[in-house]
Amino acid sequence: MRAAKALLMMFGMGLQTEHNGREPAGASRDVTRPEAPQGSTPRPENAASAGGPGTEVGTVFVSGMHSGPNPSPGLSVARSLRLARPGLRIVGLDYSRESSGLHSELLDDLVCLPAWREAHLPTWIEQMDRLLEPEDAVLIPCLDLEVRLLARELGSHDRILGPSKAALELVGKPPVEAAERLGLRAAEYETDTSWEAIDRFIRRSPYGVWVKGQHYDAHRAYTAGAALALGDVVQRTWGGSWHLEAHVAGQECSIAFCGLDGRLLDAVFITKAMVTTEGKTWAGEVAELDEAMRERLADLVADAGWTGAGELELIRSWSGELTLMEINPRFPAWIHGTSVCGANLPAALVAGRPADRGRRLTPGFTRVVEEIPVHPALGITPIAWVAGGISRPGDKRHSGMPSLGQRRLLPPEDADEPVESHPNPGSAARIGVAAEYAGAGETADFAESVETAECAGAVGAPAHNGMPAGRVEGRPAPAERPATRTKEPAAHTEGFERLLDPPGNAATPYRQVLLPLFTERVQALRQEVEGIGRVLLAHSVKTCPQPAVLREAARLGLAAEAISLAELEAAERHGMAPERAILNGPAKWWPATDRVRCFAFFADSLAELSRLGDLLDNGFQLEAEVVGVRVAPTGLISRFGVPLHERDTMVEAARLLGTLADRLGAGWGMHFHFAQSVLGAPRWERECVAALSAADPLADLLGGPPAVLDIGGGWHVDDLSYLRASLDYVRANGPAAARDGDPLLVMEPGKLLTQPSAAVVTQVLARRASHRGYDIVVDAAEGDMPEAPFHPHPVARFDGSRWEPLRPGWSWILGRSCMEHDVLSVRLDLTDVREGDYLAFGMCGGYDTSMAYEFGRGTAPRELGQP
Amino acid sequence: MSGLMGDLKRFDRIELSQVASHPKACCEMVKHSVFAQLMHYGDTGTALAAVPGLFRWGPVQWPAHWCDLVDHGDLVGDCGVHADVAAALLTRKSVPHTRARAAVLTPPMAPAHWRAVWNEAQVNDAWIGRNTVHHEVLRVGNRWWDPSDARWFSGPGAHTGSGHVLALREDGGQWQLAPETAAPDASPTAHDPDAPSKPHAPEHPHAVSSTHPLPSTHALPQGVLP
Repeated sequence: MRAAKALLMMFGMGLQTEHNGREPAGASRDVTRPEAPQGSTPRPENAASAGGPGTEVGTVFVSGMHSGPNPSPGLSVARSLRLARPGLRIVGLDYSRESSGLHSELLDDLVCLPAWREAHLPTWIEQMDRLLEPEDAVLIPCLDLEVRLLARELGSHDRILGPSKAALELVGKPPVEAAERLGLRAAEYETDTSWEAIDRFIRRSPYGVWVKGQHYDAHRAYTAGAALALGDVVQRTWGGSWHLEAHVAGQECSIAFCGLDGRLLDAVFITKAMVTTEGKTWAGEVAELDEAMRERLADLVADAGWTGAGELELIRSWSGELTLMEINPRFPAWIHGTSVCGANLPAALVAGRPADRGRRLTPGFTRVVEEIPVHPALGITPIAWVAGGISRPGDKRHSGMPSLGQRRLLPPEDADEPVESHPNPGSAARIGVAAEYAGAGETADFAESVETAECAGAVGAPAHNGMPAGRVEGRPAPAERPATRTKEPAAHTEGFERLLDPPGNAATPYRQVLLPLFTERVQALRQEVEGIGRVLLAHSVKTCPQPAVLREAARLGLAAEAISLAELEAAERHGMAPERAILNGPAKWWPATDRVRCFAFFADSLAELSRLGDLLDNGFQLEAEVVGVRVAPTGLISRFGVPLHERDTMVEAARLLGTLADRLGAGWGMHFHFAQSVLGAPRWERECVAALSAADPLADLLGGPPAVLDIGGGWHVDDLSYLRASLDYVRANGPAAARDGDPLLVMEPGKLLTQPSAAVVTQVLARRASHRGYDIVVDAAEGDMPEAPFHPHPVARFDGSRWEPLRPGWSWILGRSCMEHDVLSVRLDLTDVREGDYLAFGMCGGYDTSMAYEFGRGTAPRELGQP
Repeated sequence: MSGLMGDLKRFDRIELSQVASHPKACCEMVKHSVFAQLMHYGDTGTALAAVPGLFRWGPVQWPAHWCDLVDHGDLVGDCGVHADVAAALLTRKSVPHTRARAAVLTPPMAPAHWRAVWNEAQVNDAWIGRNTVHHEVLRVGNRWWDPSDARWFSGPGAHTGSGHVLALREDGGQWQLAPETAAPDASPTAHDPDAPSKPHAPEHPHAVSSTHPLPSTHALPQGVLP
């Protein structure tokens, strides 16, 4: 019966449309409830007062009716209204007829608008205006983008219970100003979405970051590649800009509030008790706000002239402090949870009356799954077929909001910012199918893109699902530092071009060593470690074995750190004394020889220690002052090192080390090494301390303190200024043996010293139009710069008289090879670059030099002989 | 019911869409681009799903040629384009099928948007009826395929992403009405000279002949009652 009536009503509405050109509110859902005629909805006797000029609210339109694992708030709001006002006419409004909440019997009527990809904006404005013509009708908008569009297109409408455009600006993302007004911390953030800035911000964010859309959506990332890819997905899906916020460890909380014309009507605090895999609230503990918070919130609502609902998303640290993550200009989807606990905010908003301050709340709520029959008038249809890279926009999810985002009706706040964004080469190689090469400008399937983009960043993710929460001993955790946008110069990624010679007649591509930059780095490092005590600085030969660099390293008094006997020999050949050298790596005794002399070596495994004993038994002659082990990190997955946090392993390591040290007459040592450029300083410090803390029990087992602690691990070229602080942290929080035993501290920051020390000069072979603008092909290739996908390289162009840095833009520099992933640089302005021009890539002195290989030159591996 | 019958009569005067081709590169290039992007999919369902993703839904002035479907570098198509391209795909994959039309009951506030968009583009909106809209679909075996929504649906009375299917008519067949609607009092075949029409296709190249038995894989899905 219900079905037949609803169906007929939909027919009737169609006829009405045809005849008088006016649009109805929609089809009645309940034949037992008389439907209000269009434009003259009778005011129910028990309707609440709107708080306006004596008009009682009789009809409430509620948008955002999808109710799934990631629900829109509409159904929750409708339930709350029904709870408080059984006679109220509640009309569900949505932009997808597949939004599941539309099937609820709770609704009196439905308004189903077309998906935004089909919608006509002036018609939408006219229809919304007409829906709200009756004096007793109000709209509670529950969709972020819709709220913003309503504010922009309909202004401060008396019957729209949503914030104005000015109010929305006050609570924009990131919510720094609002946090200050509320007396809350704000998460550190970064709005510069260049590769360099993102890479730097992530290194400063030990718990990872959130890629947040200007209007909606957030995804966690641990690497620059993943962040860029996710930002691309967010921008394509929702429109607007995006930025990064540091993840803040702690409990997730929220404050829901509502206000009318700047008067706070009600607010309630929840602490999440259970969340879905998408992080959506499933259960929560409910509490009243304390007076101070309520007053500050009331002031903010007053200053903003706020009308409508809002949600403050918060993180509560272990010590109880709150950090404001963002403000949503609508009710949260769990709002009915607080309504059933006694804080019915939707009802307060519609009534326009402040809540009873003397109420007693039930302590919490939980959701339960409920199956309901579909409404026959809406029906149900199986999931649509999806094409891998070019599925249709996500009209079917989120109450049709992605297609509103894709219409670009809400421009980015910074209108000058290009709408398009592109991933870095690394992410392009990994997510290219999903995002960049989706074809014909179509949007990649949202969920698939996110999944792929998130996978793109797996390298830097912690070994476990999250990092330990709470305070780090010894100094404030990053979340507790002052919250601001991080702004620091990229000190060593620019300026290389000033040292470049003009291009001569040499065939390109060629490499120019920029030795002064290496010297400068070593001197700066020496200054950083001044006063620490006994420190030996080492040059990691593998990062840059150029003879000129080795000779300069020797001149500057650096020790050689070698990972093979071949490297050790090369270092000695260029003046680096073997008696000061350190041998590391998993295959350090290659190529085989019968005699080795070094200062120290660190075994990568217990098997290596055992094998050394055997070699010595068979006549191998080894001179070393220190024998040691490389310690495996405790909180990261690594192929290297001995897991000394395992008790049996430590006992065996002590036995083997002690035996070998006695036999060689050497002291013992420990070595920790993990790429700081991947972890960032805070995580590196913690991992280093955790690993080296094995020195104390090992000292007990061996009967004396270590002679050497060797620490290192590919420090990021921009992080020299963090190095001293990290060393101080390790000394303060690391093993007592490091403080009391006065071991020699060997410091080998790897590419931090060598990365600036060379540039690759190349020539433009081709310039061609692309959907990004112009791309160019150069005569360098991935073999000349194997690190191109992993860190940004500054690029300069020779203008005939001098080298000039290229400006940021959208174009790509492609390598000469025919590999898809041979992309040397991205996001550059190449407007002025022409065929035949000379370009130079800086920051090629580290692994870009030592790992360069012949490719695409018609040469064969040397083992096979040259053609 | 009379409203529905009126719509059906009106829809009968709309020819099923066929994108025409100039015998020149302008159309050949577009056609090549379209099918190059669709034919690489190994799975037929996936290739069909790519059709509405490739053509942004929007007004098309009929009769249309392939080169007319390009708008500022994007491909634009209505349900007729989707159906014609999907049918061509099925033909290339040797899947027997028939073109068909549906009368779909949509949410009542939606047609005003579509009419406005079509009017702004100065394209005829005859497909928007008084109560329902004309929507082109495909019959494949005993099932129906909505090429704009990339979904199977079971027939008259079913729901698709566009709305409630009140009636269906295979090319050359009679209207089949949804069970909840009463039987038509007359076959809506009268010609209305005022109604705009698309160029008539003298014979449908993709129609299933009675001598071409349907493979069992395109009959009803396994385990489902008709």
